[in-house]
Amino acid sequence: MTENSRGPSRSNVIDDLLFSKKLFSMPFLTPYVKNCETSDALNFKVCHSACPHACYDSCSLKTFVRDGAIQFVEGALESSFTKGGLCVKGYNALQNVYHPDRIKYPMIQDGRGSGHWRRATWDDVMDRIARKILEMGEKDGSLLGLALARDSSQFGVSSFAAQSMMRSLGYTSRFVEHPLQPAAATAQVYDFGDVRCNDPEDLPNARYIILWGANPAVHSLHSLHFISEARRQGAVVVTVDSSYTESAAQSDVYLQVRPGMDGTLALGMARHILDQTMLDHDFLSEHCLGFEQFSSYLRSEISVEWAARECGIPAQDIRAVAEQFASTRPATIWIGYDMQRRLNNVSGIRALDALIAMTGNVGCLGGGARFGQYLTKSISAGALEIDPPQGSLGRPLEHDESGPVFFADRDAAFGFTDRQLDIAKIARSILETQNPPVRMLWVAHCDPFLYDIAWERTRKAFESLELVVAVEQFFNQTVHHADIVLPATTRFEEWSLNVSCWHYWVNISERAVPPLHEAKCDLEIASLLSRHMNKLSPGSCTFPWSEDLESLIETQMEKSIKCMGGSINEDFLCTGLAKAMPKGGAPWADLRFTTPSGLYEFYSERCAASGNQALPVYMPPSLS
Amino acid sequence: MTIALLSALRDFFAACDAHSLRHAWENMQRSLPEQFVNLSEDIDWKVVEYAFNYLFVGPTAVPAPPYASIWLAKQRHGLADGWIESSKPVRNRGALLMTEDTMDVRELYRKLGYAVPEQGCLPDDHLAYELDGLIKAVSAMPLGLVPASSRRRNKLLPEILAVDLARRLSKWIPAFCARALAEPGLPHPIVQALTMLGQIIPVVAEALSGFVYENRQNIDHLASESGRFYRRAADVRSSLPNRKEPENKDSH
Repeated sequence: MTENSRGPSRSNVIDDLLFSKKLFSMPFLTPYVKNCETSDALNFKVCHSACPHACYDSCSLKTFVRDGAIQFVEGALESSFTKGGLCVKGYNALQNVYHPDRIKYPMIQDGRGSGHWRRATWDDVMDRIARKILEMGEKDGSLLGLALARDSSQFGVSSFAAQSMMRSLGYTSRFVEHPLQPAAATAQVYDFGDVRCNDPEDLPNARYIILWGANPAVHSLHSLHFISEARRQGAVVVTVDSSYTESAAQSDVYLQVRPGMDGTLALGMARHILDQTMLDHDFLSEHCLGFEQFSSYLRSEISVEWAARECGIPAQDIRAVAEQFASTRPATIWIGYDMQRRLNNVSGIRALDALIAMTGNVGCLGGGARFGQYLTKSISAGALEIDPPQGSLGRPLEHDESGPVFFADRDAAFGFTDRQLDIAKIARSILETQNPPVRMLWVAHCDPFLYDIAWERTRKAFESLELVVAVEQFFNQTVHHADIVLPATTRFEEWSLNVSCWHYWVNISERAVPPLHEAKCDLEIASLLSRHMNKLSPGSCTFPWSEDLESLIETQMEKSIKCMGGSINEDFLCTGLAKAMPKGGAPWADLRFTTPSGLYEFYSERCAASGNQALPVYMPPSLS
Repeated sequence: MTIALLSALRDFFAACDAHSLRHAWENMQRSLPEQFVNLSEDIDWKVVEYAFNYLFVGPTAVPAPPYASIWLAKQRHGLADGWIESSKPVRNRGALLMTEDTMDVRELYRKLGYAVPEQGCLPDDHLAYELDGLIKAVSAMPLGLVPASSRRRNKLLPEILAVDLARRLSKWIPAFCARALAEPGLPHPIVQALTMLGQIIPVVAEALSGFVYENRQNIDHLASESGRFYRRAADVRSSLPNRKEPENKDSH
């Protein structure tokens, strides 16, 4: 041992290495079997996919895979919107997949927030979750104590599985409302009957473009291309924003509006257009409801000078822009996301819609009030189609309540629905909800600690919960305060059908590589949970669990394609991407709106019934 | 002994819970010279598991990911070795998994006749796999008479693969161990495993390089004369300094 104490010498090591080889033969690496995929080390396998980031552009991607690893991504040339180009984030999408800090295994934290994590198998965690759900059901008589916090960060089929998983368990509590969208989406439903927008690729047809609270130079690079094309053809581009943005720098006119006063500016413009009688009389008389009331409101309550004082833009500028806007056709307004995070802004956005309707820029190429479109987004309806288990109890459906959008008919048949809580007030809802209280929280695709600025209150709310499950790719504050974390796949490791809420391209997202470590997609997690639920208590979960993953996804995709109402056919499954909107068409081209009256509604009784004003009137801005 | 230590280290870094950590650590003690052995009973293995996950597994951002590509990225891209220059070692934040470095080691495994199970699900350059590759390469090195006709000259031999793997490990293990050991308050078993790993890898790499270098000359010489046989590894050993009697070695 004297030699050893001086440290191992070279010959000792060699002797050790060579003569002890029979001691250990633990199977670890397995014999290499040559197969065609792995041996083809020089050629790339090219997969269709969609950019995993939730943004306007939702680019169509080509993923280049070699030897089982993604090498790089490129924009798909087949998409006339993406045109082969991506943004910096898109080109760096691989950093999500192969980052060493990704959550790799299902893990359990001994003591919420303690940082004491240990690995567990999928079966262990699913068993624990299933037992907790069954225990809650016995204690409360319903599963309203189980809440889902999920945000639609990805418009993909597989990512909607968290919602259908909840429905397959019974009636639960749901944190609803998209924190970014409610104002404009609600406003357009009152005015037009649905959320639809012109294809961004028809922007070159426009002769007057107002970017209202939108900054495409940063948020929608590919749309900027079409705006530039319009400018080359002589269009005027105006930016209305409270700060001087990159898009404002590239515009012909920039109006700096006071934050929250967008509706006031729109009403001032409307008043001037009314005074100058630059109206589309045919459209207003035949296809609109309540324009008389709106114009008498404008004449009695609104003046351009008042609007100028309120929104901080000189009256002559308001007049000039209003006149140019009303005299140029087609003119369009891009309603951006800057206006969404305020109370009372439904009215403001209805005033923008009103500007488009007064000048008759509805249903024509290059026109329209563009906020987004829910045509392709309806894929979620297909993904969510599932019945709760027999005899499930929930919140009794009240008289003439429509219920959550996608389940209205089904809920009516059963007489129950989910308990809806506000996603913008997660902490408050958890702390204040009773009968039964929120006992268990399932978090997918969102980080409640990011939504609620009252951090301490959120922490307290999480402390009051009995079980917190987070499905995540990377560690965040919500995971820090969770009991169980489940590793989620990235877009490149799962099959999906991907859409945008802006353009009409629909992408198949192929599984380019197997999930790294032990990550699973939402669909697989749902199916696994269902398996464990049914093992412990047969019939307690209706989510299909005996089918294999591929056939599950295939069924989901087929259902989703049907939901798009025949706007695309199934052949596109072979080509990887397709455009849902017929080329050359504009939404509302037939001027048949889906409002209760079938007309464009300046005066909306539905809006009044929901606690707002029936007309798009001035509402003082509110931040809280 | 060295193989046993390497195997124990492999199992330690591949461990998935407190039990497997403990098992690997106990095996490690058996493979160590007496004065290093520490079989104290008062180790809280749950604490070891938490610290192990904090360092190498997650779900938080891990200080020392046990993947070669993270540490080799610096060298490949000519970036400064942060762990030497700064007081606290830092890893290259831009480095990713499944890079060219990962594919390099996959190729080495293939030449050896092995592959990572369910390839693509776990990066091939995980520390445990690289150690396993090294163990398998060393185990495949010839001990007995090997006819020259059964090996093509200049074909990659297990010994050369073993050298490649050991040299590769010695490139990134020091940075990896230094970074992990810089974390304060680590439990003893983890410190011991990291220290042992940091010491054994350079020694193994040097020993294998020297062995193959000397043996290679013999191989070249013998291969030029057809019909001859390689020398027994034992004969080669006898030409090395500080040799011991073969009988002693066989008893290990």
